[in-house]
Amino acid sequence: MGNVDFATGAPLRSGTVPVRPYIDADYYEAERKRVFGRCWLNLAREEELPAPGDYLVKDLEVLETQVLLVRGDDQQIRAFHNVCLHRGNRLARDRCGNARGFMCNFHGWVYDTKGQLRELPDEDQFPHLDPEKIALKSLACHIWNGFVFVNADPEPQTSLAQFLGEMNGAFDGFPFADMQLTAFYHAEVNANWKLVGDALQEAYHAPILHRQTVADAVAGPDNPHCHLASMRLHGDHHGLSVHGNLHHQPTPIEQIAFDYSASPIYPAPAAPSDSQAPGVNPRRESAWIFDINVLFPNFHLDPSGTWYGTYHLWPLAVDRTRWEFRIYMNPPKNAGDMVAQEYTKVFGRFVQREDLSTVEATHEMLRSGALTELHLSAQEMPLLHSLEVLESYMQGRP
Amino acid sequence: MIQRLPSAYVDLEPLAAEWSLPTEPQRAQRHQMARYAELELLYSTLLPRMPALLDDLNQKTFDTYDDADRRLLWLALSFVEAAVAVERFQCSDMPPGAFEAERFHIGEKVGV
Ligand code: FES
Ligand SMILES: [Fe+2]
Repeated sequence: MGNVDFATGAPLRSGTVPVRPYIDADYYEAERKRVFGRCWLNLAREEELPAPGDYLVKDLEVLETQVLLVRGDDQQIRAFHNVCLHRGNRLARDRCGNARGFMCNFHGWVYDTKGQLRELPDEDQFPHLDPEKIALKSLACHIWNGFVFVNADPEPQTSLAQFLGEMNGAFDGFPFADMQLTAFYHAEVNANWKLVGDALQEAYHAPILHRQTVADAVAGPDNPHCHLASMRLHGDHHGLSVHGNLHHQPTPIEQIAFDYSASPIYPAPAAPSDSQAPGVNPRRESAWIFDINVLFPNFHLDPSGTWYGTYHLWPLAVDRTRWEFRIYMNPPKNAGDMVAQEYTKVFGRFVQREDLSTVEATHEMLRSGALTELHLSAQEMPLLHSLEVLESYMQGRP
Repeated sequence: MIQRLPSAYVDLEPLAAEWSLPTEPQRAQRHQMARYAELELLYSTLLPRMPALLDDLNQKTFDTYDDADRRLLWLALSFVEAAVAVERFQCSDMPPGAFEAERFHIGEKVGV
Protein backbone atom coordinates (compact mmCIF):
# COMPACT_ATOMS: atom_id res chain seq x y z
CA MET A 1 0.00 0.00 0.00
CA GLY A 2 1.35 3.35 -0.98
CA ASN A 3 4.94 2.28 -1.53
CA VAL A 4 5.22 3.52 -5.09
CA ASP A 5 4.50 6.79 -6.82
CA PHE A 6 1.38 5.72 -8.66
CA ALA A 7 1.94 8.25 -11.47
CA THR A 8 5.38 6.97 -12.41
CA GLY A 9 5.69 3.60 -10.71
CA ALA A 10 8.88 4.86 -9.03
CA PRO A 11 9.51 3.83 -5.43
CA LEU A 12 8.68 6.35 -2.76
CA ARG A 13 11.66 8.23 -1.35
CA SER A 14 12.48 9.14 2.21
CA GLY A 15 15.19 11.64 3.08
CA THR A 16 16.27 14.77 4.87
CA VAL A 17 15.36 18.37 4.13
CA PRO A 18 17.10 21.55 5.31
CA VAL A 19 15.58 23.74 8.02
CA ARG A 20 16.71 27.03 6.52
CA PRO A 21 13.83 27.46 4.02
CA TYR A 22 11.38 27.46 6.92
CA ILE A 23 13.01 30.09 9.11
CA ASP A 24 15.40 32.27 7.16
CA ALA A 25 14.23 35.83 6.46
CA ASP A 26 16.44 36.21 3.36
CA TYR A 27 15.11 32.97 1.95
CA TYR A 28 11.58 34.25 2.50
CA GLU A 29 12.33 37.54 0.73
CA ALA A 30 13.61 35.63 -2.28
CA GLU A 31 10.66 33.24 -2.16
CA ARG A 32 8.22 36.11 -2.44
CA LYS A 33 9.61 37.22 -5.80
CA ARG A 34 10.85 33.95 -7.27
CA VAL A 35 7.92 31.76 -6.25
CA PHE A 36 4.86 33.86 -5.48
CA GLY A 37 5.80 36.49 -8.04
CA ARG A 38 5.96 33.87 -10.78
CA CYS A 39 3.53 31.04 -10.00
CA TRP A 40 -0.18 30.88 -10.73
CA LEU A 41 -2.10 31.56 -7.52
CA ASN A 42 -5.72 30.67 -6.81
CA LEU A 43 -7.75 33.59 -5.49
CA ALA A 44 -11.40 32.70 -5.86
CA ARG A 45 -14.16 30.53 -7.26
CA GLU A 46 -15.94 31.72 -10.36
CA GLU A 47 -19.32 31.43 -8.53
CA GLU A 48 -18.25 34.28 -6.24
CA LEU A 49 -18.58 36.60 -9.25
CA PRO A 50 -21.77 35.42 -10.98
CA ALA A 51 -22.89 38.61 -12.76
CA PRO A 52 -21.21 41.30 -14.87
CA GLY A 53 -19.92 44.02 -12.56
CA ASP A 54 -19.45 41.65 -9.59
CA TYR A 55 -16.10 42.27 -7.97
CA LEU A 56 -13.92 41.04 -5.10
CA VAL A 57 -10.86 42.61 -3.51
CA LYS A 58 -8.23 40.11 -2.35
CA ASP A 59 -5.21 40.90 -0.20
CA LEU A 60 -1.97 39.51 -1.57
CA GLU A 61 0.35 40.49 1.27
CA VAL A 62 3.12 38.25 0.01
CA LEU A 63 3.39 40.50 -3.06
CA GLU A 64 2.47 43.64 -1.13
CA THR A 65 -0.53 44.28 -3.31
CA GLN A 66 -4.28 43.98 -3.44
CA VAL A 67 -6.01 42.35 -6.36
CA LEU A 68 -9.31 43.54 -7.79
CA LEU A 69 -11.17 40.69 -9.52
CA VAL A 70 -14.07 41.82 -11.65
CA ARG A 71 -16.41 40.24 -14.17
CA GLY A 72 -16.82 42.42 -17.26
CA ASP A 73 -19.89 42.93 -19.43
CA ASP A 74 -18.33 40.38 -21.77
CA GLN A 75 -18.56 37.83 -18.89
CA GLN A 76 -14.79 37.60 -18.66
CA ILE A 77 -13.19 37.77 -15.20
CA ARG A 78 -10.14 40.06 -15.06
CA ALA A 79 -7.61 40.83 -12.36
CA PHE A 80 -6.07 44.24 -11.66
CA HIS A 81 -3.82 45.72 -9.05
CA ASN A 82 -6.27 47.74 -6.97
CA VAL A 83 -4.44 51.00 -7.58
CA CYS A 84 -5.49 54.20 -9.35
CA LEU A 85 -3.17 55.21 -12.17
CA HIS A 86 -3.25 58.89 -11.32
CA ARG A 87 -1.35 59.09 -8.06
CA GLY A 88 -1.68 55.60 -6.70
CA ASN A 89 -4.67 55.73 -4.38
CA ARG A 90 -6.47 52.49 -3.55
CA LEU A 91 -9.25 52.19 -6.10
CA ALA A 92 -12.07 49.90 -4.88
CA ARG A 93 -12.68 50.48 -1.19
CA ASP A 94 -15.29 47.79 -0.46
CA ARG A 95 -14.24 44.14 -0.21
CA CYS A 96 -16.89 43.02 -2.69
CA GLY A 97 -19.93 44.28 -4.53
CA ASN A 98 -21.39 44.98 -7.95
CA ALA A 99 -20.31 48.04 -9.89
CA ARG A 100 -20.60 49.48 -13.39
CA GLY A 101 -17.15 50.93 -12.88
CA PHE A 102 -14.77 52.20 -10.24
CA MET A 103 -14.30 55.83 -9.28
CA CYS A 104 -11.20 56.81 -7.35
CA ASN A 105 -12.26 58.90 -4.37
CA PHE A 106 -9.16 61.15 -4.49
CA HIS A 107 -9.65 63.08 -7.76
CA GLY A 108 -12.42 61.14 -9.43
CA TRP A 109 -10.79 59.13 -12.18
CA VAL A 110 -13.25 56.50 -13.35
CA TYR A 111 -12.47 53.05 -14.80
CA ASP A 112 -14.85 50.55 -16.36
CA THR A 113 -15.06 46.85 -15.46
CA LYS A 114 -12.50 46.05 -18.16
CA GLY A 115 -10.04 48.39 -16.46
CA GLN A 116 -10.23 51.08 -19.16
CA LEU A 117 -10.12 54.72 -18.04
CA ARG A 118 -13.55 56.22 -18.76
CA GLU A 119 -13.54 59.62 -17.09
CA LEU A 120 -10.65 61.97 -16.56
CA PRO A 121 -11.84 65.11 -14.75
CA ASP A 122 -10.28 68.33 -16.09
CA GLU A 123 -8.75 66.36 -18.92
CA ASP A 124 -7.32 69.49 -20.63
CA GLN A 125 -4.81 69.84 -17.84
CA PHE A 126 -3.24 66.49 -18.77
CA PRO A 127 -2.08 67.33 -22.30
CA HIS A 128 0.55 64.60 -22.10
CA LEU A 129 -2.01 61.86 -21.56
CA ASP A 130 -4.17 59.97 -24.02
CA PRO A 131 -7.05 58.66 -21.85
CA GLU A 132 -7.90 56.05 -24.47
CA LYS A 133 -4.58 54.40 -23.84
CA ILE A 134 -4.86 54.23 -20.08
CA ALA A 135 -5.93 51.03 -18.34
CA LEU A 136 -5.49 49.57 -14.88
CA LYS A 137 -2.41 47.43 -14.27
CA SER A 138 -3.59 43.91 -14.90
CA LEU A 139 -2.46 40.50 -13.73
CA ALA A 140 -2.79 37.47 -15.96
CA CYS A 141 -6.02 35.77 -14.97
CA HIS A 142 -7.29 32.34 -16.04
CA ILE A 143 -9.91 29.91 -14.88
CA TRP A 144 -9.55 26.17 -14.39
CA ASN A 145 -12.54 24.09 -13.28
CA GLY A 146 -14.11 27.30 -11.97
CA PHE A 147 -11.05 28.24 -9.89
CA VAL A 148 -9.79 31.76 -10.65
CA PHE A 149 -6.00 31.94 -10.83
CA VAL A 150 -3.79 34.99 -11.28
CA ASN A 151 -0.14 35.40 -12.13
CA ALA A 152 1.66 38.55 -11.02
CA ASP A 153 4.56 38.07 -13.40
CA PRO A 154 4.21 40.78 -16.09
CA GLU A 155 5.30 38.09 -18.55
CA PRO A 156 4.22 34.73 -17.12
CA GLN A 157 6.68 31.97 -17.97
CA THR A 158 3.89 29.44 -18.40
CA SER A 159 0.21 29.41 -19.23
CA LEU A 160 -2.04 28.17 -16.45
CA ALA A 161 -2.55 24.95 -18.41
CA GLN A 162 1.21 24.42 -18.74
CA PHE A 163 1.69 25.22 -15.09
CA LEU A 164 -0.89 22.64 -14.01
CA GLY A 165 0.55 20.06 -16.40
CA GLU A 166 -0.71 16.57 -15.64
CA MET A 167 -3.12 17.96 -13.06
CA ASN A 168 -5.06 19.55 -15.91
CA GLY A 169 -7.59 16.85 -16.75
CA ALA A 170 -7.50 15.12 -13.38
CA PHE A 171 -10.74 16.71 -12.17
CA ASP A 172 -12.71 16.63 -15.41
CA GLY A 173 -16.29 15.78 -14.52
CA PHE A 174 -16.00 16.65 -10.83
CA PRO A 175 -19.19 18.59 -9.99
CA PHE A 176 -17.47 21.64 -8.46
CA ALA A 177 -20.15 24.02 -9.73
CA ASP A 178 -22.99 22.03 -8.13
CA MET A 179 -21.51 22.44 -4.67
CA GLN A 180 -21.75 25.49 -2.50
CA LEU A 181 -19.51 27.04 0.09
CA THR A 182 -20.68 25.40 3.31
CA ALA A 183 -17.97 26.50 5.75
CA PHE A 184 -15.13 29.01 5.83
CA TYR A 185 -12.55 29.04 8.60
CA HIS A 186 -9.45 31.20 8.83
CA ALA A 187 -6.68 32.01 11.27
CA GLU A 188 -3.43 33.88 11.48
CA VAL A 189 -0.77 31.37 12.44
CA ASN A 190 2.66 32.26 13.79
CA ALA A 191 4.59 29.86 11.60
CA ASN A 192 6.12 29.73 8.14
CA TRP A 193 3.59 29.03 5.38
CA LYS A 194 5.35 25.78 4.44
CA LEU A 195 5.12 24.40 7.98
CA VAL A 196 1.37 24.98 7.87
CA GLY A 197 1.06 23.38 4.43
CA ASP A 198 3.26 20.43 5.42
CA ALA A 199 0.97 19.60 8.34
CA LEU A 200 -1.86 19.24 5.83
CA GLN A 201 -0.18 16.99 3.28
CA GLU A 202 0.72 13.83 5.14
CA ALA A 203 -1.28 11.32 7.18
CA TYR A 204 1.58 9.97 9.33
CA HIS A 205 0.47 12.29 12.15
CA ALA A 206 -3.15 11.12 12.21
CA PRO A 207 -2.91 8.24 14.73
CA ILE A 208 -1.10 10.47 17.25
CA LEU A 209 -2.14 14.10 16.81
CA HIS A 210 -5.74 13.18 15.94
CA ARG A 211 -6.12 10.36 18.47
CA GLN A 212 -9.21 12.02 19.98
CA THR A 213 -10.84 12.84 16.66
CA VAL A 214 -10.28 11.41 13.21
CA ALA A 215 -7.60 8.78 13.92
CA ASP A 216 -9.91 5.79 14.00
CA ALA A 217 -11.70 6.81 10.81
CA VAL A 218 -8.46 6.97 8.80
CA ALA A 219 -6.22 4.40 10.51
CA GLY A 220 -7.30 1.03 11.87
CA PRO A 221 -5.83 -2.36 12.69
CA ASP A 222 -5.25 -3.02 8.98
CA ASN A 223 -3.32 0.25 8.57
CA PRO A 224 -2.07 1.39 11.99
CA HIS A 225 0.31 4.06 10.68
CA CYS A 226 -2.22 5.48 8.27
CA HIS A 227 -0.29 4.79 5.10
CA LEU A 228 -1.66 6.57 2.09
CA ALA A 229 -3.90 4.63 -0.24
CA SER A 230 -1.87 6.02 -3.16
CA MET A 231 0.38 8.92 -4.09
CA ARG A 232 1.33 10.56 -7.40
CA LEU A 233 3.72 13.31 -8.38
CA HIS A 234 2.58 15.52 -11.25
CA GLY A 235 5.30 17.98 -12.22
CA ASP A 236 5.28 20.76 -9.62
CA HIS A 237 2.18 19.36 -7.95
CA HIS A 238 1.11 16.13 -6.31
CA GLY A 239 -1.88 14.17 -5.13
CA LEU A 240 -2.39 11.69 -2.32
CA SER A 241 -5.33 9.49 -1.44
CA VAL A 242 -6.12 9.14 2.24
CA HIS A 243 -7.01 5.68 3.50
CA GLY A 244 -10.32 5.13 5.23
CA ASN A 245 -10.86 2.56 7.97
CA LEU A 246 -13.84 0.47 6.87
CA HIS A 247 -14.08 -1.00 10.39
CA HIS A 248 -14.46 2.38 12.07
CA GLN A 249 -17.26 2.30 14.65
CA PRO A 250 -19.14 5.59 14.38
CA THR A 251 -19.85 7.52 17.57
CA PRO A 252 -23.55 8.24 18.26
CA ILE A 253 -23.50 11.65 16.52
CA GLU A 254 -21.52 10.18 13.65
CA GLN A 255 -24.08 7.44 13.25
CA ILE A 256 -26.84 10.06 13.04
CA ALA A 257 -24.81 12.10 10.54
CA PHE A 258 -24.00 9.08 8.37
CA ASP A 259 -27.63 7.85 8.49
CA TYR A 260 -29.21 11.20 7.62
CA SER A 261 -26.76 12.68 5.11
CA ALA A 262 -27.98 12.71 1.53
CA SER A 263 -24.48 11.75 0.33
CA PRO A 264 -21.33 10.50 2.12
CA ILE A 265 -19.72 13.13 4.30
CA TYR A 266 -16.41 13.46 6.11
CA PRO A 267 -15.20 11.30 7.81
CA ALA A 268 -17.29 8.53 6.23
CA PRO A 269 -15.60 6.27 3.67
CA ALA A 270 -16.53 7.43 0.18
CA ALA A 271 -17.36 4.64 -2.21
CA PRO A 272 -15.51 5.25 -5.47
CA SER A 273 -17.53 5.25 -8.65
CA ASP A 274 -16.56 4.81 -12.26
CA SER A 275 -18.01 8.19 -13.16
CA GLN A 276 -15.68 9.86 -10.68
CA ALA A 277 -13.10 12.29 -12.05
CA PRO A 278 -10.04 10.33 -13.23
CA GLY A 279 -7.64 12.01 -10.82
CA VAL A 280 -9.81 11.55 -7.74
CA ASN A 281 -8.82 8.35 -5.91
CA PRO A 282 -7.35 7.14 -9.23
CA ARG A 283 -6.77 3.61 -7.96
CA ARG A 284 -10.44 3.44 -6.97
CA GLU A 285 -9.52 2.17 -3.51
CA SER A 286 -12.63 1.27 -1.55
CA ALA A 287 -10.96 2.03 1.81
CA TRP A 288 -10.73 5.71 0.99
CA ILE A 289 -11.98 8.99 2.47
CA PHE A 290 -10.59 11.86 0.42
CA ASP A 291 -7.63 13.09 -1.62
CA ILE A 292 -5.13 15.83 -0.92
CA ASN A 293 -3.88 17.67 -3.99
CA VAL A 294 -1.20 20.25 -3.47
CA LEU A 295 -1.10 22.74 -6.32
CA PHE A 296 2.21 24.43 -5.87
CA PRO A 297 2.89 26.65 -4.07
CA ASN A 298 0.04 27.29 -1.64
CA PHE A 299 -3.29 25.85 -2.76
CA HIS A 300 -4.67 22.49 -1.59
CA LEU A 301 -7.66 21.01 -3.39
CA ASP A 302 -9.02 18.07 -1.41
CA PRO A 303 -11.94 16.27 -3.09
CA SER A 304 -13.91 13.32 -1.83
CA GLY A 305 -16.72 11.71 -3.78
CA THR A 306 -19.43 14.21 -2.85
CA TRP A 307 -17.68 17.16 -1.18
CA TYR A 308 -14.39 19.00 -1.43
CA GLY A 309 -12.24 21.21 0.73
CA THR A 310 -9.61 23.84 -0.08
CA TYR A 311 -6.72 25.30 1.87
CA HIS A 312 -4.85 28.48 1.07
CA LEU A 313 -1.61 29.21 2.88
CA TRP A 314 -0.92 32.92 2.45
CA PRO A 315 2.46 34.09 3.69
CA LEU A 316 2.38 37.30 5.73
CA ALA A 317 6.00 37.16 6.91
CA VAL A 318 8.64 34.47 7.26
CA ASP A 319 6.96 33.42 10.49
CA ARG A 320 3.30 34.36 9.88
CA THR A 321 0.67 32.77 7.66
CA ARG A 322 -2.98 33.36 6.94
CA TRP A 323 -4.55 29.90 6.90
CA GLU A 324 -7.88 29.58 5.08
CA PHE A 325 -10.00 26.46 4.91
CA ARG A 326 -13.23 26.11 2.97
CA ILE A 327 -15.67 23.21 2.67
CA TYR A 328 -17.98 22.85 -0.32
CA MET A 329 -20.96 20.50 -0.30
CA ASN A 330 -24.20 19.92 -2.15
CA PRO A 331 -26.99 22.21 -0.93
CA PRO A 332 -28.63 20.38 2.01
CA LYS A 333 -31.81 18.61 0.98
CA ASN A 334 -33.51 18.60 4.39
CA ALA A 335 -32.94 18.98 8.13
CA GLY A 336 -31.23 15.60 8.47
CA ASP A 337 -28.84 16.45 5.68
CA MET A 338 -28.13 19.83 7.26
CA VAL A 339 -27.40 18.29 10.67
CA ALA A 340 -25.09 15.80 8.97
CA GLN A 341 -23.23 18.63 7.22
CA GLU A 342 -23.03 20.49 10.52
CA TYR A 343 -21.30 17.47 12.00
CA THR A 344 -18.67 17.57 9.26
CA LYS A 345 -18.15 21.27 9.97
CA VAL A 346 -18.00 21.16 13.76
CA PHE A 347 -15.93 17.99 13.87
CA GLY A 348 -13.73 19.44 11.15
CA ARG A 349 -13.15 22.62 13.19
CA PHE A 350 -11.70 20.59 16.03
CA VAL A 351 -9.59 18.44 13.72
CA GLN A 352 -8.23 21.65 12.18
CA ARG A 353 -7.40 23.07 15.59
CA GLU A 354 -5.41 19.90 16.25
CA ASP A 355 -3.59 20.33 12.94
CA LEU A 356 -2.75 23.95 13.75
CA SER A 357 -1.66 23.09 17.30
CA THR A 358 1.86 21.94 16.44
CA VAL A 359 3.03 24.36 13.78
CA GLU A 360 3.68 27.41 15.97
CA ALA A 361 5.69 25.39 18.48
CA THR A 362 7.55 23.78 15.59
CA HIS A 363 8.45 27.15 14.11
CA GLU A 364 9.67 28.40 17.47
CA MET A 365 11.87 25.38 18.00
CA LEU A 366 13.28 25.43 14.47
CA ARG A 367 14.18 29.08 14.99
CA SER A 368 16.45 28.00 17.83
CA GLY A 369 18.90 26.73 15.24
CA ALA A 370 19.34 23.48 17.13
CA LEU A 371 18.42 21.52 14.00
CA THR A 372 19.74 22.01 10.50
CA GLU A 373 17.77 19.21 8.88
CA LEU A 374 14.52 17.27 9.26
CA HIS A 375 13.87 13.59 8.55
CA LEU A 376 11.03 12.55 6.30
CA SER A 377 9.58 9.07 5.90
CA ALA A 378 8.58 7.68 2.53
CA GLN A 379 4.98 8.45 3.55
CA GLU A 380 6.05 12.11 3.87
CA MET A 381 7.45 12.27 0.35
CA PRO A 382 4.99 15.04 -0.60
CA LEU A 383 6.89 17.40 1.72
CA LEU A 384 10.15 16.43 0.08
CA HIS A 385 8.65 17.01 -3.34
CA SER A 386 7.26 20.43 -2.41
CA LEU A 387 10.67 21.56 -1.14
CA GLU A 388 12.42 20.26 -4.26
CA VAL A 389 10.00 22.17 -6.48
CA LEU A 390 10.44 25.25 -4.32
CA GLU A 391 14.20 24.99 -4.58
CA SER A 392 14.01 24.77 -8.36
CA TYR A 393 12.12 28.07 -8.45
CA MET A 394 14.59 29.58 -5.99
CA GLN A 395 17.43 28.55 -8.33
CA GLY A 396 15.65 30.61 -10.98
CA ARG A 397 14.63 27.77 -13.26
CA PRO A 398 13.28 29.09 -16.53
CA MET B 1 -42.41 37.80 21.57
CA ILE B 2 -42.80 34.28 22.98
CA GLN B 3 -40.60 31.78 21.18
CA ARG B 4 -42.05 28.34 20.62
CA LEU B 5 -41.00 24.93 19.41
CA PRO B 6 -43.33 22.58 17.50
CA SER B 7 -45.86 21.10 19.94
CA ALA B 8 -44.18 17.70 20.28
CA TYR B 9 -41.06 19.41 21.57
CA VAL B 10 -42.30 22.00 24.06
CA ASP B 11 -40.49 20.17 26.89
CA LEU B 12 -37.23 21.22 25.21
CA GLU B 13 -38.13 24.89 25.58
CA PRO B 14 -35.58 25.60 28.37
CA LEU B 15 -32.78 24.20 26.20
CA ALA B 16 -34.01 26.09 23.15
CA ALA B 17 -33.91 29.33 25.14
CA GLU B 18 -30.17 28.78 25.55
CA TRP B 19 -29.19 27.02 22.37
CA SER B 20 -31.52 27.82 19.44
CA LEU B 21 -29.11 30.13 17.67
CA PRO B 22 -29.33 30.80 13.94
CA THR B 23 -25.67 30.89 12.85
CA GLU B 24 -22.61 28.71 13.21
CA PRO B 25 -20.47 31.50 14.76
CA GLN B 26 -23.17 32.08 17.39
CA ARG B 27 -23.48 28.39 18.20
CA ALA B 28 -19.71 27.98 18.36
CA GLN B 29 -19.41 30.97 20.68
CA ARG B 30 -22.15 29.60 22.91
CA HIS B 31 -20.31 26.27 22.96
CA GLN B 32 -17.10 28.07 23.90
CA MET B 33 -18.60 29.86 26.87
CA ALA B 34 -20.61 26.86 28.12
CA ARG B 35 -19.90 24.96 31.30
CA TYR B 36 -19.31 21.29 30.54
CA ALA B 37 -22.43 20.31 32.48
CA GLU B 38 -24.53 22.40 30.10
CA LEU B 39 -23.09 20.56 27.10
CA GLU B 40 -23.70 17.20 28.78
CA LEU B 41 -27.31 18.14 29.49
CA LEU B 42 -27.92 19.26 25.91
CA TYR B 43 -26.28 16.10 24.60
CA SER B 44 -28.00 13.59 26.85
CA THR B 45 -31.42 15.21 26.40
CA LEU B 46 -31.29 15.49 22.62
CA LEU B 47 -29.50 12.28 21.68
CA PRO B 48 -32.50 9.95 22.18
CA ARG B 49 -34.80 12.49 20.51
CA MET B 50 -32.74 13.10 17.39
CA PRO B 51 -34.08 10.37 15.06
CA ALA B 52 -37.74 11.36 15.62
CA LEU B 53 -36.85 15.03 15.53
CA LEU B 54 -35.10 14.70 12.16
CA ASP B 55 -37.82 12.43 10.78
CA ASP B 56 -40.37 15.09 11.71
CA LEU B 57 -38.44 17.99 10.23
CA ASN B 58 -37.66 15.96 7.12
CA GLN B 59 -41.39 15.94 6.34
CA LYS B 60 -41.00 19.57 5.33
CA THR B 61 -38.89 21.47 2.85
CA PHE B 62 -36.97 24.47 4.16
CA ASP B 63 -39.21 26.96 2.34
CA THR B 64 -42.25 25.69 4.26
CA TYR B 65 -40.63 26.00 7.69
CA ASP B 66 -42.33 28.21 10.27
CA ASP B 67 -40.49 29.92 13.13
CA ALA B 68 -41.01 26.94 15.43
CA ASP B 69 -39.47 24.52 12.91
CA ARG B 70 -36.49 26.81 12.48
CA ARG B 71 -35.95 27.00 16.23
CA LEU B 72 -36.02 23.22 16.45
CA LEU B 73 -33.50 22.89 13.63
CA TRP B 74 -31.16 25.41 15.30
CA LEU B 75 -31.40 23.43 18.53
CA ALA B 76 -30.45 20.27 16.62
CA LEU B 77 -27.46 22.10 15.13
CA SER B 78 -26.31 23.14 18.62
CA PHE B 79 -26.69 19.50 19.66
CA VAL B 80 -23.91 18.76 17.17
CA GLU B 81 -21.62 21.17 19.03
CA ALA B 82 -22.38 19.43 22.31
CA ALA B 83 -21.96 15.98 20.78
CA VAL B 84 -18.42 16.68 19.61
CA ALA B 85 -17.53 18.10 23.04
CA VAL B 86 -18.95 15.13 24.94
CA GLU B 87 -18.00 12.28 22.61
CA ARG B 88 -14.48 13.47 21.79
CA PHE B 89 -13.10 15.74 24.46
CA GLN B 90 -15.15 15.35 27.66
CA CYS B 91 -14.60 19.02 28.31
CA SER B 92 -16.19 22.25 27.12
CA ASP B 93 -13.47 23.03 24.59
CA MET B 94 -10.32 21.03 23.87
CA PRO B 95 -7.38 19.89 25.98
CA PRO B 96 -4.68 22.51 26.60
CA GLY B 97 -2.30 22.92 23.70
CA ALA B 98 -4.92 23.05 20.96
CA PHE B 99 -4.97 26.05 18.65
CA GLU B 100 -7.03 28.58 20.59
CA ALA B 101 -10.69 29.00 19.75
CA GLU B 102 -10.40 32.79 20.03
CA ARG B 103 -7.88 32.83 17.18
CA PHE B 104 -9.86 30.40 15.01
CA HIS B 105 -12.34 32.45 12.99
CA ILE B 106 -15.60 31.16 11.59
CA GLY B 107 -16.70 32.93 8.43
CA GLU B 108 -20.05 34.68 8.45
CA LYS B 109 -22.65 34.57 5.69
CA VAL B 110 -22.11 30.90 4.87
CA GLY B 111 -24.87 28.31 4.56
CA VAL B 112 -28.63 28.41 4.59
S1 FES C 1 -5.22 59.16 -7.17
FE1 FES C 1 -6.97 58.37 -8.09
S2 FES C 1 -7.88 60.09 -9.03
FE2 FES C 1 -6.07 60.88 -8.12
FE1 LIG D 1 -4.28 16.45 10.31
